[in-house]
Amino acid sequence: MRTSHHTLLPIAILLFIALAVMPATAFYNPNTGRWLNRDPIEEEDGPNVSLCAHNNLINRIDPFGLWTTGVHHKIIDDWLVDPIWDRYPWRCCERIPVRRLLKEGSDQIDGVGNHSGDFFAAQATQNAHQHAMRSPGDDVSVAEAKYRQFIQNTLNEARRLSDRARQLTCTYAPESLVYSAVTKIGNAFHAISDNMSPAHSGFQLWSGSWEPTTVTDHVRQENMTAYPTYKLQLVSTVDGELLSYLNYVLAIQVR
Amino acid sequence: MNKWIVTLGVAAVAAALVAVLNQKPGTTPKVFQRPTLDSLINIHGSPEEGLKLCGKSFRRVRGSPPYFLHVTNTSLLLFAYEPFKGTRMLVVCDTNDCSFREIPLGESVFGNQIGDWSPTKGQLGDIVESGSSNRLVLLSKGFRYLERSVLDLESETLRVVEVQSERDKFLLDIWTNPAPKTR
Repeated sequence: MRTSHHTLLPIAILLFIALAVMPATAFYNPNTGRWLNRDPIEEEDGPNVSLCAHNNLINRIDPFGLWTTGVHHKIIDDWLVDPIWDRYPWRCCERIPVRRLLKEGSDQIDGVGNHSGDFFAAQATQNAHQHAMRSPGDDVSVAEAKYRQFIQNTLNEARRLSDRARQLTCTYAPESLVYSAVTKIGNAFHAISDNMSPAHSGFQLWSGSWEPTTVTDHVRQENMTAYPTYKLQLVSTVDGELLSYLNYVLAIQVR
Repeated sequence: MNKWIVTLGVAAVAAALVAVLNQKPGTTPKVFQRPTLDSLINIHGSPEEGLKLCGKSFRRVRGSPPYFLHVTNTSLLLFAYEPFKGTRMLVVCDTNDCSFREIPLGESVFGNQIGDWSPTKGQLGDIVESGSSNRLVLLSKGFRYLERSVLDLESETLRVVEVQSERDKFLLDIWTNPAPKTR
C-alpha cells in the first residue's frame, strides 16, 4: 500500500508539470481553418466536437446567444473605422469620443463594463426586447413591436438631447448633452446588432433561466470566431439604420 | 525499495523538466484566451484573446481569428496587439530566427481588421498588399474608409500614405457656427 503511494507521487508530479506548462485553451490552425482543441462540452452537442453550432450558425439557433461585449465593440470599430470618430469635432472646442460613447451605450443595455452592477436588471425578461428577444407571455409580433418602439424612443431621445445642446452657449457645457445623445444611439445600436446575431432571428423566447447547461451553451457560442462571416451584413445594417441619426446628433447646425 | 522508487521518481521529474526547458518554441502562432474580470463575473463579458508565438505571449491581439497575417514568400508574420489600453503595436516576427520587431501603429488603423479579409471575400479587412525584403505595403479596407501605409522594416517605421474617407476632417465650427441661442 505504501509502495503504491510512492509510485503515484512521481506520476502526480509529472501530471502537474504537464498541466502547468500546457498553453491556455483554444488553438486555431490557420491552414485548415479549424480549432485544434475539442469542444469543452464534448459529445453532448453531437459527435463532432470541433464544430460550432454544427457549422450552421444561421439555422441552428442558440437559445439566447448574443454577441459578446468584445464583438459588440468590434462592430462599432468596424463600422466607424476613421480615427476621426474618436475625437469628432464639435462646438465649444469639444472633441466627441463617438466610438467610446457608443460602446458605453451598448454596454449599458447588456449590464457589462461600467454597468456590471445592473447586469441582472439589464438581462431581466421584461427587457428581452432590448436584446431582440421576447419575454414569456409575449408573442413574436408583440416582442418585435416593443423592440422597434425601444429603438425609436432611444433615437428620438438622442435627437431631442442634441437639439437642446445646439440651443445652448458653450458656458452651459452643452457637449454633455451630446455625450448622452451618442450614448442613446449606442443603446439602439445594441438592440439592432443583437437582432442581427445568428442566434437571435425571430425574437426567440428569453425565459430568464440561468440554468448551468443553458449558460454553458450561451458562453460557448458567444465568441469572435463567428463574427467575421456576418461582419459585412452587420456593419452595413447598423450603418443604414444609425448613421443618419449619428450625423444629426453631431451636426453643429441642422439644415 | 522505497529509496529506489523515490530516486526513480526524482529522475523522471528531472527528465521531464529538461525536456520542457529544451523544447523549441513553436513558430506557429497559437491563439489563447485569458479570462477577464468581466468574463468571470458576467456571461456577456469577453475573455482576452492573445497569441503565443516563439515562446512569447502577446495579449489583447487586434482583429479576428486567426489574428495574424503571413507575408507571402517570406518567413514573416504580422499581427497587432495592445500592450497597454489605447496603445497599439504592430509586431513583425521572423519565424526563421524567432526575432520580433514592434512598431507603434500610431494613427494608422491597420491591424484592427486582421483576419477579416477572407470571410468578407475581400470587401473589408487588412492585408499585406505587396512587399519586398525591407518594405511592405499594408492595406486596410474598412467600411467607408481605406488606408494604405508603408512599413519600412529597416527603420522600423510605419507611414500612412493614402487615406480615403467619407468624413470631412476639417469640420471646424469656428467659422461655420454662428452664436447659438442663449438659454
